[in-house]
Amino acid sequence: MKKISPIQLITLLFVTRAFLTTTYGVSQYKLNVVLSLLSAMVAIALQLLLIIPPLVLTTNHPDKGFMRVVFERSKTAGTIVSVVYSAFFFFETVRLLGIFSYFLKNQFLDYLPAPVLIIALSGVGLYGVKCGIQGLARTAGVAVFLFVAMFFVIIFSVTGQMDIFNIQIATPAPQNTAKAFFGDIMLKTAGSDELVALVFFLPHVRKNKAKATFSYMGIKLFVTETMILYSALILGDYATGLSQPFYTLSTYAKTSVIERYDSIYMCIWTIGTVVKVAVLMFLLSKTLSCIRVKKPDLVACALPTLTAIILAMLGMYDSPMFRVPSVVFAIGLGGAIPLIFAFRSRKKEEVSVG
Amino acid sequence: MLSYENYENEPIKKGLYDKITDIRTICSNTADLNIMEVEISGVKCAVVTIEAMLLTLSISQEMFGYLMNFNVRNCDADGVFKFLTEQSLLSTERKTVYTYGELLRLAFSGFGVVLVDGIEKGVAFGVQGYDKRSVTEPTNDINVKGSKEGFIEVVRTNISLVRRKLKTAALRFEMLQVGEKSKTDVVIAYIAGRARQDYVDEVRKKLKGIKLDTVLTSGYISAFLEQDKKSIFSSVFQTERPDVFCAKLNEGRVGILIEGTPFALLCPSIFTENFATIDDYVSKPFYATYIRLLKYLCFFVTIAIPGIYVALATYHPETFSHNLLLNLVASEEATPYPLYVEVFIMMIFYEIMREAGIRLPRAVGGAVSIVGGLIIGDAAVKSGLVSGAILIVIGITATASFVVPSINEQTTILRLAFILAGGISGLFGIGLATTFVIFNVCSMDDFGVPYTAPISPFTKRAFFHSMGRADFKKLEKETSDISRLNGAGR
Repeated sequence: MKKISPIQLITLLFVTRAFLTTTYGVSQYKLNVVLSLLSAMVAIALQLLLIIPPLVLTTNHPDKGFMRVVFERSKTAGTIVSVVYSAFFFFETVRLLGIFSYFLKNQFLDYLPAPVLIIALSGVGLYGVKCGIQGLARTAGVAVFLFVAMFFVIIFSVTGQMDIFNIQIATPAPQNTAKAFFGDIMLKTAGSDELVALVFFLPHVRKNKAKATFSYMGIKLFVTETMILYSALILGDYATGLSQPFYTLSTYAKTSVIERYDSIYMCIWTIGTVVKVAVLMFLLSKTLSCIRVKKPDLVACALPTLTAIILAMLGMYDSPMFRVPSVVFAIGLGGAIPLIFAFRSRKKEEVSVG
Repeated sequence: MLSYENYENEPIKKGLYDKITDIRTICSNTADLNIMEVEISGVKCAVVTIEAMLLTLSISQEMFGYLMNFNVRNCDADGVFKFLTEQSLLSTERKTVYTYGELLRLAFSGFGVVLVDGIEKGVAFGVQGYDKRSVTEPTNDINVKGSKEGFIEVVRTNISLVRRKLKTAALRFEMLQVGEKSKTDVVIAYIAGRARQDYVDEVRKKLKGIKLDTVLTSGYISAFLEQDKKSIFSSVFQTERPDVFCAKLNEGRVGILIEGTPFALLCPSIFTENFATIDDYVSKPFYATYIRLLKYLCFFVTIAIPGIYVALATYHPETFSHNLLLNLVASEEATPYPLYVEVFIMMIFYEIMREAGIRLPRAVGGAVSIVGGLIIGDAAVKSGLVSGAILIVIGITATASFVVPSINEQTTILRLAFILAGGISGLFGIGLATTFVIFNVCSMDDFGVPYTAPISPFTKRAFFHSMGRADFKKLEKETSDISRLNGAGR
């Protein structure tokens, strides 16, 4: 089994997550900033519980991939689980391709048809799939430098435009605060597809799996809180209506050399998106190979690409396929299913897996 | 019948005239073959040499004179052979040959081979004296304060240059012949205890597996050492400098010296090596660090700046400050072609001038500079073909490309690719191209060593050593070892 280092796991998860994290801002549920920050913390705490089953699974079954563990328990269960995870990764890939191509078309590349954008993203993503887990992890390690640099450039560039009164602590809470608060936590958790990916990555980590995973959650908390805070401090109430508030911040970011950073931010976001597309396709190809699909790499690329193209050409960007999936998937696929197989069974079945 | 196609393993015959006839037949009486028949102590012998391969004065005075003075009563063929192999020191190198293949290979390498009537063997003496270039400063790996010695085309001289710098018994050389027809001498060099044995074994295996007819340059061999044929960069490092060669051997790499080329190879190699020079270890650490960071910046500039300029000016002009934007718009207003076409054309012009500058005789080289400067520079702008800003971009790019010459081929192609990517789809295209390149580079791990180490996988100490130059006090405590990088190993 090819191994990656703990730091590579962190960077891989970070880049996989970065696409969604950069859309974070003040809550869509009209919570005030303090409650938004709090809901992010609670969401992270909930996710900390979710990562325990994969950690237990990989500790009890060292050097074994998740699907192999499931297939060793039961062939039928393995097939069902493979299909479920394949469907999840398929939908996530379609969603990612669709959302990003929509963003690009609307903000920058209105002259390029959406299918061209999707094919370009998928093509490079397929190349990334061919590089394998180590190639993907190393690429994430390089890409994370760019993200971190971009993050700090934007933060420091807009710091001068902060207005502390934008926090508006005294703003009345929405009518059903508890429901909105809970909804925000679930929304933030639902988008955590990297926790599902973690189930497949953990067996590849050479050592210090738990430390690496918890370190990643700490970094995620810091980045999320910073993004929410800055979105509020700079943009104020305007941030609540934006789907990409951090991207909007980049339009405000200005230095003596560069007038605005949104296009540069888009460039780095593209890099992160392609890496995420490659990761999702890689995971999809792994689960498809478990159900004996021929040429899983190509199928994992072609199927989501064609679906995204069809949906884009039909203009179905408000389709349910492009919305953040239900939190049930993140909790079920990221925590519940690994929990079922985490503990050793008395009856062992030696079954070869795809 | 014996011929040039089937002589390799044919054993040498006993009779002198049979031997001579066979050699003449195999070589079809080639004009540079010299066979001199002589009697040594009453025994018929022959000396096989190749024209202009020997030190004529030395061989006639020292070897031939010595042989002619050997006169023992009742000496037979065995006695003469014993004298040649055990009782004389006619040169520093002496080998016994058993087949025509060995005989001719050594003769073509400048050895003089003595054949004795009645003995099914020959004795080859190393009396090479062919014309060769003297050891001079390398033409490509130029430095300011380091040694001015560079490798030359003779592998034995190169071995001595390395041995003089590493006077340790742990330094090993293994010589092989590569190339079905050229039988080029190739030497594997490594330091026992530093280089991993599996690296050495793998290099040896790959070299023995080369089935080419001729091996004339280092490029013939480096292609076989690289595992990933689709990678943009090469995992085999080339150098003309013995000092760099020795430094890398000490870091656990395996070196290859090749007869006929002054370029030595080293593997495994990592990306950050291209940014280090021997001058870094002569200057103070702060200055060396500054220069190294400058090289990384130049790498980025030479690859990405033309493409980014095209992308920003065409699709994202809002990125520029107002004054700069107005100037750019004014300069582009009068030009007939889209910006990326202009940049592409100018880059091609530059590449033509650069290639012409390399190939032209020195006497006309100056004319190329004048023509290039006038045509590309002044006339192109005045005629409105291109804008002045593009010339500045091209000039900076071209100059930056010479800061890291070892990856000049890759940066040239990548630069053009980035210009096209930026011209077609702006920074989105640049992002895609960058990701593709990063995927390509990150997937390389020849000999089990990730090409992007120590950046990714991250190795803290090695990373800081790559970005800057550590103080010698620290280097005293721990020498870099490529096999200890994170991710290295199978």
